[in-house]
Amino acid sequence: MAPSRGLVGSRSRRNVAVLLRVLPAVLFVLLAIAIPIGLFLFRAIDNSEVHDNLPGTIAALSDWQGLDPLKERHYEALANDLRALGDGPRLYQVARQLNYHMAGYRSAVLKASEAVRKNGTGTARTLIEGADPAWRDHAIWRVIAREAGALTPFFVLAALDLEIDEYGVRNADPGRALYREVFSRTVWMSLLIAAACAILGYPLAYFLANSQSRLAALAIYAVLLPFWTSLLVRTLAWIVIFQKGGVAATTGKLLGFGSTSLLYSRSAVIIGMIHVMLPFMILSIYAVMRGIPSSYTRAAISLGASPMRAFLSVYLPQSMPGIGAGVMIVTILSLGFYLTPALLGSPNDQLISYFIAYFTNELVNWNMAAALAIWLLVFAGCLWLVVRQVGGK
Amino acid sequence: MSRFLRSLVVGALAPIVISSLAEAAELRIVSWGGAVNDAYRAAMWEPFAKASGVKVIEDVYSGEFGKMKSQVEAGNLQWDVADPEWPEVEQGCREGLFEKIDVSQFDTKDLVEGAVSECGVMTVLGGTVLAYNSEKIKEPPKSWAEFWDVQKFPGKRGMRRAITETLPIALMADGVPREEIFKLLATKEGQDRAFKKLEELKAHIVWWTSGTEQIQGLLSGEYDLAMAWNGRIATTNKQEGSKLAIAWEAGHVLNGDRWVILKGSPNKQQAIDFIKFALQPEQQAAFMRNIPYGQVNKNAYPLLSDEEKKDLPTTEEHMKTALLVEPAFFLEHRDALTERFEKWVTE
Repeated sequence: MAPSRGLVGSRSRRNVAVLLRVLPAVLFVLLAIAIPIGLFLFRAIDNSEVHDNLPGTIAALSDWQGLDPLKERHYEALANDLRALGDGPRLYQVARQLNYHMAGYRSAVLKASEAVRKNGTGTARTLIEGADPAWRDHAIWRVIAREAGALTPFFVLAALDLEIDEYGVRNADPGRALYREVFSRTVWMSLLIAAACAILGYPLAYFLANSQSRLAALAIYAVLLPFWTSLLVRTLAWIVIFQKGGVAATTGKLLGFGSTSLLYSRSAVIIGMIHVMLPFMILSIYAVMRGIPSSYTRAAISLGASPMRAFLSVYLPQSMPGIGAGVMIVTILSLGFYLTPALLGSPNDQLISYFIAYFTNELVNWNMAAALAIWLLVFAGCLWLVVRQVGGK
Repeated sequence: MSRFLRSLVVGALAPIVISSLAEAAELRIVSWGGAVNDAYRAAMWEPFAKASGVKVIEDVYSGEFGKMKSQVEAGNLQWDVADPEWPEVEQGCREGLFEKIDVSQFDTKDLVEGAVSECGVMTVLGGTVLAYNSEKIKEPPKSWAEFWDVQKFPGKRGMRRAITETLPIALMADGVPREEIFKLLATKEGQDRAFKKLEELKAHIVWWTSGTEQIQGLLSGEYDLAMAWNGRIATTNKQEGSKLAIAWEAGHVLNGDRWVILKGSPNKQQAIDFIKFALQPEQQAAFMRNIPYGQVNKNAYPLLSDEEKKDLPTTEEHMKTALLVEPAFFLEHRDALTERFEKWVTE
């Protein structure tokens, strides 16, 4: 049966109205979140600082293989590029960018630039090689030839301790390989926190959802209270509890556990993170449990099931979506945790956000920060898919 | 446009127009917060505001280069003047993040050498020193080599989780003369040597990252020996009545800040005026009285009593054991060494 014209008209009018109502939210997400994040993540593969600033050298190297002898024209091309850059900001950007590939290339570029700008006597080759011995080695030329494109895989690979050269991708120098371990620690800690929160939160959520007592009403506030307290304050409170001579150490001593300080340990981070995350878990489970009619369990018992059996085969399956949602929220929030590990943990307990912040603010290697962020996003996406499969939608 | 709407627009715009006229002369300065901001405020910011009529708006950061870079790149400045450390100054200046300063307009005859460059003007000079709790340790270590001696001084040591001072100090402990340290650290052998020396002490190190943490560790007894910032030690003693002390004879790493003007600042003239004002001996002496970090005008030192001078890292006596940070070294090696350090520290 074809719908009448009037119905189609009113339906499309209603669609337009709905669209108009969500438009501000969509625009906000797009302008304030999606585009800036996208632009930042693009820096992970952005190679414009090398590509745009050494055009002549890159062109001259286009038919050069890494083992061929270097010719005078290569040096002349580089000299021309460096003269064009002068002593301006772009020279220092190229120098910084090449230095990421090998410590020492910064001064190689700067010294070569100074030598060719002074217009000393001699060919471009003698000037540049005389300025810094790095230019006699083919390695730096190979880096420039490899980084000729407008985009580079260098940082995305480096964020997983991988390197690329003419022979393909391989593991980075083990002395510097760092990030795979940090990523696995981040994922592992998030899952651990989520599991602990689920185990600790489930009974409390059950009590909140199924008890009529005044205590349950009070307990709800106790769960919500941390939400109204700043994360920083809560973390600092843990420092006071964990530190040497603090509450935890004193209690431990009284109970005969010795008086070791928990501060700057993995346990401190885990306890602190569970404390922060627990309300998310409890509220997710609680919301689902509120919708489970108590008559189902009663029916199971009246049909002869033991209370345990009734719980396991009737109640628990119905409350699974709550656990799934809670685990998803907690793992994904934990993946990005920064403050709690930074304040309560040792260097060994830092998660990947520590390094993203460090690269963003201190080292200002935004390519690397963006590359780490991309992988974090990928891992969050994978976790989300896994949890969704396991925990039910 | 309805009258209502028009009056609304005018009403909304008027304060902006008026305020931008009234506050034409303002200067937004950012510094490291805490005791440093307190000292700046008392010695330089408030006196400058009073003398010039320029409104000084202060803010706090941790010297993060990234925050300056993002503001300049976005063309949306929150700050006019900042005081990053030397390596960041060098990098930012070369990459065009800061206004070039005309050196000739400064009178430099009473300043320490190199105080004014086109990149910025030196301010705070701070020492990373060997600090200890004198209530717990009666006979303190006299050198970094002794700081490494866990037989003689049992217990944990607080050290900074960053290569900046930790690697040079490891070489000091290994007996490398000060003038060779950065040259050696630029080589693979020197880096290996520094890490090997750190390895000896690793099990006894508690790492700190912020100024608050280093002091917290000393006060709570987490450790009684630490590498720490000399100004923090002095202000903590003043505020907490603690008895933290410094072993100057062990040697210290001297790092410093420069006032820089962020590129595109609409208040460049006020910024220059402020920097000149801050270089006056009276202002510098007042600053050093508030917190014992060095300043660069030589005429400021005679204004201080011996008592006020004794904690400064820049007195003639303390300069004899100082290792000055070399910005170029860090720009070249910081990224690679940081990765190696972070890897090592978590092993």
